[in-house]
Amino acid sequence: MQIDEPRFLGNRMQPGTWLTDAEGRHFRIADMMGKPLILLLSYYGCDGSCPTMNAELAKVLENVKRFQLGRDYRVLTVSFDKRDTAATAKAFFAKSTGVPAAMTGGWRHAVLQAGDVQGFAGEVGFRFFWSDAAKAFLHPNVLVFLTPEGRVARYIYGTRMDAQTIELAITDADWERISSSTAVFDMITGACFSYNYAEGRYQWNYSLLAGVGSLLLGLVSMGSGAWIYRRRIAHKRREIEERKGEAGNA
Amino acid sequence: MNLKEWIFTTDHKRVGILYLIGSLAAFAVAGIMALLMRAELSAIGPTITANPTNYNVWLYTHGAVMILGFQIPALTGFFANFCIPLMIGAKDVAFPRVNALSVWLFYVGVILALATFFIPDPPDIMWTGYPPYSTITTGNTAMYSFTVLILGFASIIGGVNFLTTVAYMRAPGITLNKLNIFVWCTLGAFVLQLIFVPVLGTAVTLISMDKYLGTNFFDPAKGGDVLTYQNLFWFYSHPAVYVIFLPFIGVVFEVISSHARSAVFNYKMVVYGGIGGIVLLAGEVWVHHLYVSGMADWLRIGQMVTTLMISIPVGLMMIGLVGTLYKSSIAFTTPMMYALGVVFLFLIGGLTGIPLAVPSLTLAVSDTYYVVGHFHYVMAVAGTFAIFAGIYHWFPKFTGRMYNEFWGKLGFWLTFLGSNIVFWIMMDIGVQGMPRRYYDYAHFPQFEHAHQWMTAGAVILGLGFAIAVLNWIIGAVKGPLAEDNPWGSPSLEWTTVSPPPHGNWPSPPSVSEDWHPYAYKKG
Amino acid sequence: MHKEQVTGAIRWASAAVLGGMLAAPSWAADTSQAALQKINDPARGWDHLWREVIVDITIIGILFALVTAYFVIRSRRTAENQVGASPTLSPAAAVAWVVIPIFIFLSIDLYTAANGWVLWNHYRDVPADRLEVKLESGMYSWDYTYPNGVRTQNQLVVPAGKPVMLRMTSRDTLHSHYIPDFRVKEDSMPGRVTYLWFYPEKPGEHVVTCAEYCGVMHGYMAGRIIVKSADEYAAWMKQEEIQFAAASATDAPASVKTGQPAAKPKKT
Repeated sequence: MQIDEPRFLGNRMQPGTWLTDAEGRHFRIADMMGKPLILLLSYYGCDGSCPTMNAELAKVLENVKRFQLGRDYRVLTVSFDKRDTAATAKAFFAKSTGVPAAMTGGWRHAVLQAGDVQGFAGEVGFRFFWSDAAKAFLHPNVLVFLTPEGRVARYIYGTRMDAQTIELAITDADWERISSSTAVFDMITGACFSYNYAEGRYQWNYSLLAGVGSLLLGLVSMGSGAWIYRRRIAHKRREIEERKGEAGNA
Repeated sequence: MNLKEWIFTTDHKRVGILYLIGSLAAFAVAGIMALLMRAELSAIGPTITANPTNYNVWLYTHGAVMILGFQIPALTGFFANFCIPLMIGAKDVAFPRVNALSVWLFYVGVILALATFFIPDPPDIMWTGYPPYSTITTGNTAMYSFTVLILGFASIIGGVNFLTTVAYMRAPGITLNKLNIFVWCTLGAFVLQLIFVPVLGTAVTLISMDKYLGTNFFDPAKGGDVLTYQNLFWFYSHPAVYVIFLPFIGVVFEVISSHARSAVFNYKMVVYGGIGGIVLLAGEVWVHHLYVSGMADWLRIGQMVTTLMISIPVGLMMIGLVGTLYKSSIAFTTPMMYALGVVFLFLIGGLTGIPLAVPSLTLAVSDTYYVVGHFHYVMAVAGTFAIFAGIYHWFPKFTGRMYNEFWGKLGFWLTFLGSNIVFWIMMDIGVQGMPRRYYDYAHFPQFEHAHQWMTAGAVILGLGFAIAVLNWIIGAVKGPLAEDNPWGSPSLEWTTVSPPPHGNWPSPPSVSEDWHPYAYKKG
Repeated sequence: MHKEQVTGAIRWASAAVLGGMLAAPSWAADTSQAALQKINDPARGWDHLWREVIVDITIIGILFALVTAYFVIRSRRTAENQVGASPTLSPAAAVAWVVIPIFIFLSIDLYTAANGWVLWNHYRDVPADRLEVKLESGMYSWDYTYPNGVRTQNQLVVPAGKPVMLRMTSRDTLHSHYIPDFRVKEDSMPGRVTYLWFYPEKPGEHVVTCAEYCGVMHGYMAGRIIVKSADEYAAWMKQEEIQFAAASATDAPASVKTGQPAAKPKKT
C-alpha cells in the first residue's frame, strides 16, 4: 500500500482532468492549482478511515495558523470510487467530515467526471483495490502535497496529523516561490527542517544547525576578541592620561 | 645550526622558514601529482595507469595538498610569520610557543596528507568530499577529515596569534594607517579564517560521523540533506579563496611598490575599499559554487548580484596595483617579473570569473575545464607567482644571501609560458564541453590534441618551477652575501641585518613622524 | 547550429568579435522563427550572452593590460638611485578614485546581472508543450523513463522541434546530466527532484556526459541524445511500446532494457 515515493515525487498531475464538486459545479484540477494543494483521495461510501482522515484534516487545519486555507493553499478531496457522484460527495461532506463552512472556500470534495480513476490516482502513485471480504476499499491513508504547478512535493501518511507537519509540507510545496511571498519566516523554517523518508515525518536539519552553530562560534569569538581589544586600548589610554595628570599635579 | 634548535624553535622567523620548507615540499608533491595527471590525459585510454582510482587519488592529493598544504601555509604561515613582526617592528609574535605548536600541527597535517600514498585505501573524494560518494566510497574519508581538521586548527591558532600581535605589538609610531598592505591583507585573511574555519570543521566532522558512526546527517532517506554539506563546505571554502587571495595580492603590493620605488596608489582605497570590501562580501557569495547543484531557483539567482559585486573590491585593488606603477622607477628584478606576471595573469583569471558569477552562463560551463582553467589562473598561477615573487623578494632577508638573477628570470619565463599554454587551452576546451575530473575522455576524441598541448605546457611549467626551487636552494647555500636592504625599501623589515637575529633588532626600532612603509626617498 | 556558434564564441578577443559579426544574421533569422512558437531556446540565448560577456571582458582586459604595459615601459629605472615620482593624491582625488570606479564596476555588474536574469528565466521556464522524461541516474548510467513507461538506458531518443524536460533524481551519488551541445546541466541527487530542459531543433546526435564527480568510473559515464524527425520518432516509439507491452505482459518488471536500479534509497 506504500507509495513508491522516489518514483512519484516531482511527478506532474495532468492539469486537464475534469471534476465535479459536491455542489455539482464542473472544474478542472488546474483550477485548484496556482497555490499549494493538498490532495486527499477518499471514497464517499467509506465508513472507516476516509471520514476520519477528512475530519482529522479539518481539525488540524484549524490549527494551521501560518497559512490560510483558500488564500495560501487549497485542499481537494477526490473519490476513487467510480460509484460516487456529486450527491454522495455532498452527503459525505455534510455528514461526516465536519468541515466548517469557513473552510469551504478552499476545500472541495469532488468526483471524477469521466475516465479512469486508476489512472488519475496512479499519477501520484496511489493504489487501491476492492476487498470483497471486507466490503471496502483497501488504500493508503495519505495526504499528497502538490506544488502550485501540480507536482508532487510530499506525502504525509497516517490518520493522525499535526499542524506543524502540515505547515512544513505546505512550505515544502511552495519552496520554489517562497521568495515572492516575502515570508522570511517560512524560508527559515523550511531550511531548518528536513523530511525523513524512513519515518515519514519532518525533523530538524541537524547538519545545517551544526553548521550555523559553528558559524556563530566563529563570529562570537571574533567579535569578543574585538571587544576585549577595544576595552584594553581604552583602559591603557585612561592609565596614560591618569599618569600624565599625576605628573602634572606633581 | 642543529636540528633540535630548529624543531623546538619559537623564533617567528625560523617558524616561518619551517612553514616554507613544509609548504614547498607539499608543493613539489602536489605538482608531481599534476604532472602524473597530465601524463595520464595525454592520450585517450589508459596511459600510465590502468586504474581510474589511482588517477582520482592523484587528483584528490593535488587539490587538497595544493590548497591546504601549500598555498594557505605558505601565505598565512611563512609570509605572515616572517614578515608581520618585522613589518610592525616587533621582537616576535605575541605567543611564540603557540606559534611553534601551529607549525607542528601543520607538519602533522602535511604528513597525514602525504600518507595518502602509503595506505591501502587512499581517499578518492576530491578536495570537496561531497556526500553521498564520500560516505559510501571504500576510500578513507577519515583521513580527509583529520587532515582538514588539523590544518584548520593550526590556522585558527595562527590567526589568534597574528591578530593579537598586530593589535598589541606594533612599535611606537606605527599607526593603523602606516601598516604595510601585506599586514592588512593578512589580517583580513585571518579574520575570515577565524569566522569560517569552524564551519568547514563541522562539515568534515559530520561527513566522517556519517560514514563511520552511522549517523544520517547527509542521508536523505533518513532525514538528512545532501545539499547541506555542499552549502557548509562552500560557506568556508569560498572565503578560503580570499584567505589565499588577500595575502598573495598583499605580497604583490609589497614587491611592486619596492621594486618600482613608488608609494602604493591610494593606500586607503586599497585597505578600506579593497581589503575591507572583500572581507565583508566573502561570506555572501558561496552559492555561486552551487549554481547547478539543484538548489531552489530563487536561492541561486539571489547571490548572482553579490558575486558580481566582488568585482568592485578586486577592481579597486587592481587599480591600486597599476596606479602604483605610474611614474615609478621599475627595476626588472626576478621578484618584480613575477609580480608583474601576477598582474597580467590575475587579470585573465579575474575577468574570466565574471561569466561564472552569472547562473545562467554557469549552467553550461560549470564543472568543465573552463572553471578549472579560471581558478588555476587565479589561484594556481597568479597565487603561486605571487608566492614566488615574495620568496625572491625576501630571499636576501631570510637567507642573507642572493639568488641568481639569470636562472630566476629563466624560471619565470618558462612558468609564464607553460601556465598560459596549459590554462588557456583548458578554458577553451572547457567551453566546448570538456568536463573536469575525468580519468579518460573517450567520448570527447576531438579534445585529444588539446590535451597533448596541455601536457607539453605542463612539462614546461614544471621545469620553470623546478628551476626556481633549485635556484633558491643553491642561493641559500652558496649565493653571494646580500646587503641589508638590496631593494632600497623604507619598509621596516629591511632596516635590520640580513638575516635578522633572534629578537630582530638590538633595540626596538622607532619611526619618525613622516615615516611610511612606502615613503621612498632619493638616496 | 549551436556547435558552430559556440566554437566561434569562445575564440576570445578578436575571434569573438568576428565570430559574432558572422553569426549574427543567422541567429536573428532563427529567433524570428522561434518567436512564432514562443519557445525561448536557452542554448541560443546562452551563445548570445556568452559572446557578449566575453567581448566585454576582453575589452576591459585589453584596456587594463595596455595601460599597465604603458606604465611599465615608461617607468623603467634609468639611474641606480632613482625613485618613483608619482604625484600624491589630493583628498578629493583619492575619494574620486574610489567612487568613480565603484560606479563603473557596479553598472557593468548590474547590466550583466540583468541579462543573466532574463536568460535564467528562459532556462527555468519550461514551455508547456513538451516531452517530459524521467531520469534516474546511478553509478554509472542514465536511466530514462518516458511518460508511457518505455525505458531506455544511456540513450534518449527525442523528436525534433519539441522541448524536452528531464525530471531527475539519483539512486546513489551525485551526478550531473550535462549536454554540451544544448548548454545545459543540472545535478541529480537522492532525496530531491531537479529538472532541466532543452530544445532539440534538428535531427542529430549529441553527447551526454556526467559533470559531477560521482565515483571511480565518473569519466566513463556517458550517453547519447538522439534527435529524430517527428515521424521517425513516432515509428521508434511504436516499436518500443510493442516491446514494452510484451515485456510487461510476460512479467511484471518492465526492466528489459534498463538493468533494474541496484540500490534505491531505503524507505519503509
